[in-house]
Amino acid sequence: MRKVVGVSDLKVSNNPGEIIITHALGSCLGITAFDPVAGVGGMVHVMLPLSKADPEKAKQKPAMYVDTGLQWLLHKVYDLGARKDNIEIIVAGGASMKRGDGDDYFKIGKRNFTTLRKLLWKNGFMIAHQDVGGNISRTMTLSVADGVVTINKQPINAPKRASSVTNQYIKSV
Amino acid sequence: MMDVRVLIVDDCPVMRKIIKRTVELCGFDSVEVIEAGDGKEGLEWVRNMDFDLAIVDLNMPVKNGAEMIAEMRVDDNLRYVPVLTVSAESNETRVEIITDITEGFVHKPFCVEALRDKMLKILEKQSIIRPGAAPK
Repeated sequence: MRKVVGVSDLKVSNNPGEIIITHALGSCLGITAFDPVAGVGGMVHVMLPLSKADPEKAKQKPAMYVDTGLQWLLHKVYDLGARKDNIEIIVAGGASMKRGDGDDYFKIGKRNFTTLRKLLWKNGFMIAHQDVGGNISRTMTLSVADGVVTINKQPINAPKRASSVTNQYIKSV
Repeated sequence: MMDVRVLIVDDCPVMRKIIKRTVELCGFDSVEVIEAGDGKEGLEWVRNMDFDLAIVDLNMPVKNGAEMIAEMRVDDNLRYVPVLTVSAESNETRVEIITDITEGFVHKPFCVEALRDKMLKILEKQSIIRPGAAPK
């Protein structure tokens, strides 16, 4: 069964029959946390770097921001029995939203990823795999059965029939 | 299965701290990290203790990393200690020479994941950790 993670949304699961999926990651980040021992995985689709930009909004939608979204994701997978020592983090997204010759003035994608890296480092996590940056739209899936993450990539603003590339990241443990 | 002892030789305490934390976050069962502030101190440690890996900076006071590595490579007891150099050295020829006599080179500034991947690759190659046992 498929669980779809919307924008500013989070899903966790310990059901090996489930696939967690999020679509259209542009400058947003898709972050997966998977514990292969407990068989628990989760995914969050965050939009903006720091919740201090709008703390009220962050309370209503913690998954909107990288800092509160990551914290929420980790709490949720811990609640299902995941352990910090076993968790693998995989990240996708953080693309530049530059159009044509225009500049990506706000650099949201880059800032999202920088914020995430800082938070992970401070909390003692390293990224197992990452597929970030560029001018690409990504779709990310996590198979709860085995922790395999698939990232499908397509150029932003490309015609619908443009060829896409898919990368697969297999759990390392 | 995965107990490692790593020597970090760098004159910058902050860099030593970053490398040490990276090693600790690699998920080994047990990690012992020894720090040295220059090549002379580093040589003293490798002569007195067995290491699975030495992570060595090149530009250091007293004795630089290249001198330290050169001395290790002519010493029968030390020539097989795996060395990973981490340096801001930009001279291509020097980097090539260093790469030839060491097991790997990581350019500063580095991304911690790149350092981790290089380190694990060396440890796998030396059969210190089994292939595919790469931690998270």
